[in-house]
Amino acid sequence: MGHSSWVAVSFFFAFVGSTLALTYFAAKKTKTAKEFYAAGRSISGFQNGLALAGDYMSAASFLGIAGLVATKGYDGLIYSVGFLVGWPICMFLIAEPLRNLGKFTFADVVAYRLNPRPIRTAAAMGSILTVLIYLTAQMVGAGKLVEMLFKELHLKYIHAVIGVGALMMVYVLFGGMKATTWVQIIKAILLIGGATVLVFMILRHFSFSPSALFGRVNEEMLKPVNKSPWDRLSLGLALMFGTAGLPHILMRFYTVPDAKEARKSVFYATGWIGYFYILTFTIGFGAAVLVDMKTTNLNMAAPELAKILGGDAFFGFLSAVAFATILAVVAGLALAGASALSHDLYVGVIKKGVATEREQVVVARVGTITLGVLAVLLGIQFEEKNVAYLVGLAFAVAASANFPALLLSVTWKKYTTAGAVASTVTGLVLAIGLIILGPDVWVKAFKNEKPIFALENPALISIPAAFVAGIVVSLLTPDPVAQAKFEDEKLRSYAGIGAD
Amino acid sequence: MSDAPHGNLHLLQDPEFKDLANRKNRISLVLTAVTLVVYYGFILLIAFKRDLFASKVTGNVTFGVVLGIGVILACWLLTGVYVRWANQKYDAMVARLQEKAKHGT
Repeated sequence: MGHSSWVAVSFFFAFVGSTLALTYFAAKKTKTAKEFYAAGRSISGFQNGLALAGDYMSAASFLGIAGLVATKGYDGLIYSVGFLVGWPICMFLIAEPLRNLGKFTFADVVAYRLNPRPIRTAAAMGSILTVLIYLTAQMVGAGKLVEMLFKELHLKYIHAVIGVGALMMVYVLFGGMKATTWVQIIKAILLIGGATVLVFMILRHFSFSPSALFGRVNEEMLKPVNKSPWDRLSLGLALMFGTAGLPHILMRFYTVPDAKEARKSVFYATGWIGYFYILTFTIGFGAAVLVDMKTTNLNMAAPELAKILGGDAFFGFLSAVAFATILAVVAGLALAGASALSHDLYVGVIKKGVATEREQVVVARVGTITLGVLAVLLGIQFEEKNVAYLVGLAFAVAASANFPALLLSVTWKKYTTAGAVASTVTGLVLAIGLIILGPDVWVKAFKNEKPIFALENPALISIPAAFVAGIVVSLLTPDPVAQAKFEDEKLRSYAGIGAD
Repeated sequence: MSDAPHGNLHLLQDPEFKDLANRKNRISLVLTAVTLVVYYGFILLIAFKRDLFASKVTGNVTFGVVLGIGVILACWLLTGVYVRWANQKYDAMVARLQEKAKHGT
């Protein structure tokens, strides 16, 4: 086994060992639903800021963006900027009302003054689909990484995918939100530290002159690719409004004691995440100059760059950091998916809101296993896709199915149950449908001549359509009871009076 | 789940609550609008002025790199503006209203 593998293996074991120890301790404190889903609301704003960063910066941010910049140049950085701009939107429009009105999931907020069963059914579908697409992207990243790292051990893609699925289930099943939070905090520190060292080494290679680095980049690479403005706008919308519709991110707001801490955590998260994305400018172009992308897998530009600059040891370290990155995100995703299955569908819809603590936790664990198995199967199916691209699609679904329903419910008095369901279903069906009819699936996968829908990302159509459906259907089905409840909801949403 | 708001519906008519809701709405809308302008300005430049991105600002550092980092920093600063406002104004107003709710005045 090569030197890089030893470093990576020891680092894997250190990370996995310490996080499993954390899980063991967290498991003792994970008996009730509040502890399982929301870490007993005991996380501080600063801790949650780091955990949000760890939950958010996925394989797409690190492996995907570096690979995209190395092959397509500036286009990859459009993701760096786009992944960040959702955070101020989340802060200004969603963070405080979300924390004040909900309990464990964003469906709590939408269902607050409406008929909970149809709302929760629709919201759970939106959550689960978003989570599954996002999970697939992470599984692909993890599989490729392990395959590259352990070539000598003949460890295959499929083994890696199964391994990640198994570890993710252990964290979530036993440690719930508390263990997941600490896995995410440790990972955020490792990723930000690792990326900082990588940038230092790139700059050192160019005698600490960014000008020397950018001077070596091909001029065409420094420009965005010539694409239709509609494609640009559509991806832009998906990235900006997707963040405020991601179930695993929204769920983290319930781990802090109140709206003030929720707001603080967004500020810290935006700082950490923004700093990391600024680093991707140097990492991406560094890879474009130094890594031969003809012989490197699309998602492996960053680890390959580490090998060139820091040798086998640094390559091993950075690959392990990338692996930790993925594990922390999949744990958050699994928890969010499980909460949609158990808290929204099982307790909210099937049991009509009445279930014992024990029952809730058991069902959440069954949900976790179901999602883990599904994610492994999907990861095996989608082996050859760029992870940043796949995450872009998950953002489109989140921005279309979840965000409009949530925003309308906290801002618009005349919103009704039928309107909310119409908004979620329209966003969901259009987002998924247009992806299937678009250039990537219809042409590349189904081998048709021309796409039926011309844009790569559906958000330009599906987000406005979800808003229009929500508004029109609400106006057609006036609900005086829900309107009256909006008044009392306001006290809770603005001032936290009566918040859980 | 607590049902505290029901006993406090009179607070909805409280001028202090109305002021709080108005101010929160105003700052949220203004800051959202600024974020939208900054980001969609960036997207429009990408869509229509792509040659601009390779033009050099200092040394070989290009406009595209400076602009991209600038948008990220602007977003973070905007969240900072909101937090500053909320810490100085919003929290105090919320605390006063919660106090009123507790004492049922």
